[in-house]
Amino acid sequence: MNADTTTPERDYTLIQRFFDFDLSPKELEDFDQKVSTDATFAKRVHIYRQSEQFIEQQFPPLKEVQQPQQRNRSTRTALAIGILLLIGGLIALFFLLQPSPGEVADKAWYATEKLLFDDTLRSIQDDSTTDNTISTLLSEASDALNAGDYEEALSILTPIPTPAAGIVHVLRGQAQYELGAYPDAINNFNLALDSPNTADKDIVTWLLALTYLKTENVEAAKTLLEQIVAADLPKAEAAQEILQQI
Amino acid sequence: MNEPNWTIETVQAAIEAAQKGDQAAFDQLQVYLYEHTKTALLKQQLPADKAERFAWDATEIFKTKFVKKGGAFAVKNWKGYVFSIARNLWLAEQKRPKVVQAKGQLPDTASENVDHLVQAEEKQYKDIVAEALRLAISRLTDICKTLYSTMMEQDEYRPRELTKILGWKSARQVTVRLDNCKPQLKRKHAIAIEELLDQNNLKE
Repeated sequence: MNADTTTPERDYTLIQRFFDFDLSPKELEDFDQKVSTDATFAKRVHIYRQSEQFIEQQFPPLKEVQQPQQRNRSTRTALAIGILLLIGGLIALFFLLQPSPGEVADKAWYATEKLLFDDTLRSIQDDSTTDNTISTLLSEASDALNAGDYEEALSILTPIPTPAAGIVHVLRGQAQYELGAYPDAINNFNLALDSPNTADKDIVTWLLALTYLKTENVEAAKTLLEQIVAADLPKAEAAQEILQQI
Repeated sequence: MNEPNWTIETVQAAIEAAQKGDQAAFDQLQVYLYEHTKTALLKQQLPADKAERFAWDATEIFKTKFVKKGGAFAVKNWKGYVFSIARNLWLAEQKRPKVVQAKGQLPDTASENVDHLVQAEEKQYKDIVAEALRLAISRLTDICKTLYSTMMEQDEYRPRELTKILGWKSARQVTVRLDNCKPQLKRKHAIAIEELLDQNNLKE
């Protein structure tokens, strides 16, 4: 890609992926070549790294602050009652120690990085996304998804005509999971897996498994998780952990 | 702990051990990656101090990203990737943007010239980076903009307090959105730095 056809946004997205250890071996090779031969791109690598360090300094990871406890007589009484209830509750708790499938699914879901539309890879993701209108919509939907604005993401994605690119179904599915529309999410993840041009199908399989788990369809979830483990896909270890819990 | 014979496979094994929480394996791996990267940079004819600096930076980036992502990567050749980061940081620094100084800011004597220019340039660059943050936040998508603007204006960084100020559902929502918004902010910030540098340098 020469400097005339790249945009700053596209370059910085690629550079961000580089520093996040997200590039494939071929992408890494191309990236190294680009830094060596494209002075503008090399400058952007420097700027991005400076920006990243500055942002991390300005906004370090947040920590919860514990609220101070205020003790008084009524608190002590409540504490005594609480202890008695706790003893009885421990017996019930023994039977409730196992997290529900939904809780297991949620924990794994929020530990998974979202799959987003990446404009730099649109030729790989699907030919139909080379249409500028569609790719703009997908970028906007991805931004909304990334920002936690799931209704907004879905409102952008819903009008995109069918048959849609695999990535459209992936984005819809993720937004629908977040909004609690699990059957719709399952439908979209399945459509994504059926689409020949969906990238990251192993991750989509993982997301579908989690959605089945969320709807307590444990057998369907197990089938997919076992497939992930058997094929030693990137989520194999996490899948194995879940299979041991459900 | 015995020093393993480091190959792509043993590095991968150390990564997997680290993913399972083996801190000793992770620490040993970090040391190895630093030494390997430094040696590789020296072979590229970098001066020793630069080789150490870029090897250190690359290893720190590896450590930060590894901890942040919980080791969830698809990288196969870690040695190669960390070296690539170090090498590209070095190449990128050679192409770093220069901040053009305004006329009349240059000192009279030649002996003060270089130090003064470097300091003035650094200060101006820092000012640009800070200004770019304000610009970047104004360009974020709505929720991200609300979150970061509030943090800056209120000087408040505690999730629980931010939940109250913003009227959001929970502190978790704050931390999840912060995590999701940060990559966007970094990209917008970098773009804004570039724009401000271009504007600054075009004035001259």
